Amino acid sequence: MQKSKKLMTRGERVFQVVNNVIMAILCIICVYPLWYVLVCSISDPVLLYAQRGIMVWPLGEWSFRGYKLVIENPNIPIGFRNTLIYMGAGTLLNMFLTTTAAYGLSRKHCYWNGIIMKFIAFTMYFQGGLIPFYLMVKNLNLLNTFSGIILPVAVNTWNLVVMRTSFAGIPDSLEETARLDGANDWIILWRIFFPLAQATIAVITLFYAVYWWNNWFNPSIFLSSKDKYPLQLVLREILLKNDTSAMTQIGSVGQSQQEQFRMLVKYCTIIVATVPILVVYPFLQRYFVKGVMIGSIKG
Amino acid sequence: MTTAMKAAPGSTAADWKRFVIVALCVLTLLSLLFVTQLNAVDRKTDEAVSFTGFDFLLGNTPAAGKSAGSPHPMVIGAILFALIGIVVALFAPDKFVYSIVSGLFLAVTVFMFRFDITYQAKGEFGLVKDSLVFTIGWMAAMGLSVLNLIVVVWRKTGRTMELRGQQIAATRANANIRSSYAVPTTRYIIQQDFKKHWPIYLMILPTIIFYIVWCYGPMYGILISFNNYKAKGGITGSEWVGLQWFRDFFRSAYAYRTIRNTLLISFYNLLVGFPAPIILALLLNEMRAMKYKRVVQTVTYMPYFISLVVLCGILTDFCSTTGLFGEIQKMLGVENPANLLGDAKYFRAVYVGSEVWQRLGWDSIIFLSALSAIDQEQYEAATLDGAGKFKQVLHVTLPGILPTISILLILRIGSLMSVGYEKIILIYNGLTYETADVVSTYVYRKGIVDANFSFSTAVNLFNSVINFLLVVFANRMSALLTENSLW
Repeated sequence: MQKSKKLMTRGERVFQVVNNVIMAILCIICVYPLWYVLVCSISDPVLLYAQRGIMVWPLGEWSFRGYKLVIENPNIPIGFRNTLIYMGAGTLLNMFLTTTAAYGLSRKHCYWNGIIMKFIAFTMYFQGGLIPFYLMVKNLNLLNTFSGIILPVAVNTWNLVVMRTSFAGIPDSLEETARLDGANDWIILWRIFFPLAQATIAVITLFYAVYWWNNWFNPSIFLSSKDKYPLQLVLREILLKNDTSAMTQIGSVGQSQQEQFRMLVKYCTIIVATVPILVVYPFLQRYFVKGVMIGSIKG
Repeated sequence: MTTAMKAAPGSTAADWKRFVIVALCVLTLLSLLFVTQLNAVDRKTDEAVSFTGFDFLLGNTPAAGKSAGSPHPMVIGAILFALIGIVVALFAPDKFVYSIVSGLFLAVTVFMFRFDITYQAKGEFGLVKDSLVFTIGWMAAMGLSVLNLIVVVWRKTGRTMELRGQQIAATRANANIRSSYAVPTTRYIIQQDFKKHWPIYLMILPTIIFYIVWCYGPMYGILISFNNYKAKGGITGSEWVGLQWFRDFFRSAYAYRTIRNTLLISFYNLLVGFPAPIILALLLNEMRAMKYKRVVQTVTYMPYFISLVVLCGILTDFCSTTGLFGEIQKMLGVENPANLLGDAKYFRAVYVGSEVWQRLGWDSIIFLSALSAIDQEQYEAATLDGAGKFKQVLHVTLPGILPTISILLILRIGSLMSVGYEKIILIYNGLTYETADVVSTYVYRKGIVDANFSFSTAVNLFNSVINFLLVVFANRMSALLTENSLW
């Protein structure tokens, strides 16, 4: 540090200052929208409705009435529960199929592997499209079921390819030694390859989990009963379809206050739905970054 | 074996075959444009009129005062891709798949062109009958396209046979086997392979079933874009309508609107969203305060983890007249702030802006990793040569990450026609359809909302084919330029 400072010319020092200022502005731009929502969510609803403006601090006295309404609304806990079910079951199935297939496809000397790989990779570039996909779910009687959400996305091709690349990088000698000791493919995969490729597996698991957390489109066309809605779909009803009636009525507020609470409830919902991710994100960040790197090596 | 493979592309035989393919492609296009003559009679003046494919493409008047109308965008697209096919066949003749695709596309072009001319002629003129020249022209074009395909396949098979022969000869020579020794047949190899590797295939099997059911099953469902799908008749049993849905789409105003919007949104997104992460990565790379740098990275990656629904919820709130953006407008002296999502003028800006906000930091990761791979000695050498900071960036840093940039750029170009519907259907509305409605959202509206299954699938198929060809093209280009390809 000391050394580099001495070497800096006047121009470079100016550049460093300017650069740091630019970065600070960028950080503010990235954080401010969320800060704004947070500040709004604990503001006084009456003042908030009358005047929002560019806020840096809550208006009026801090009020957690919005959060109370959000928590009392049964849809949000149901949404959380459903998302956890989809995430748990979905990620488990995703990982099982992805690891087994990636192991199989990473074995050299298998006559059909090249062709199977082409068969799989082709689906990255050409798909049947929305309606045929929908009809498939419909024809298999999977509409409005949990499995109808999970099964159609059981494997992600990109993740499969990444996993295969990482398995293929494990030295052959390990496999050969295990075989001499009498291990079969099943044991080799779970006892040797799985622990060795831990880093990649963690990354891929994360990617699948994030998919399930964000998933809303397929449920929106496949599900009709609200008690199966994942969280994101519940959020969509509240945030984008303005369906806050469940909350503003349960909270036993007067008709005149409905509009004020509607706005407040939206902000609170955003915070409630985003905080879980933002809390775990800093700890998982390096895995995500690693995931981008792993993906890029292939490309 | 290796020497033979190396020699093949440069040898005269390969050049000759390449010449044949390109000549066939060119001849097909020329015969399409000049030989084909449509003989028709103008119903008003009762005069016989004739025009060539060339006239048709240029929209020349076939009869007094009457225009043939604009040609199908699809016909133009098909011809464009056939031309690209020729160019790539010229420069990269060894890619079997690409040759097949370009050959197929030529055949489709020929077919579409005929379909279109006939269709257009029927509207305003009575089509007398196919004249001799007309028939010969079409037959020639169609025949040449098919011949092109055959040549491609023949070339490939020839090469495969040759390679197999060399392989067998090499095995013989290496293992010092008597010439009477039976080289294992393919069938024997497959049997042995299965005996040895069946547990592996068993492990892949569930995934293969997944792909057959959930990826290839829907591809089979594409058939409904050529019929009038009714739940009763099912995918194959419904009434066959040929290309009616495609025609309906291209005759409607939606074709132009959705394709234009798709291209413009991707283009703006590319224009702003592509250089921004590169600049961010360069600036981050120059930072000296390491802790501060890590904070900046963490903070700028964060928006990526906000879910789409929440992002769109925030966006609709901010864009309303009393929301944050409304307030900012007021601060800037606008008296009646506009609802940015309620005005078609601003939709693309809002879309691209939010996209960049969410992805800026995340997309910079890949460039940062490319930057960290640059050899530090190069900077030292540059400093010794008297290069300042700016010159170092220009002559060391940028060339260092150029391969990454070019690959990502090419991939972006490959996805130019694929703007997803997920985000747009959350934030668009009737007021903004004019600028917001892209092909995929149109597919969604027609299919899921209006339950117009066949029509929607047809539009989607058109889009998928274009996307596929763009990706193939991008991949070829990336292979040519950087020796780095996806396949």
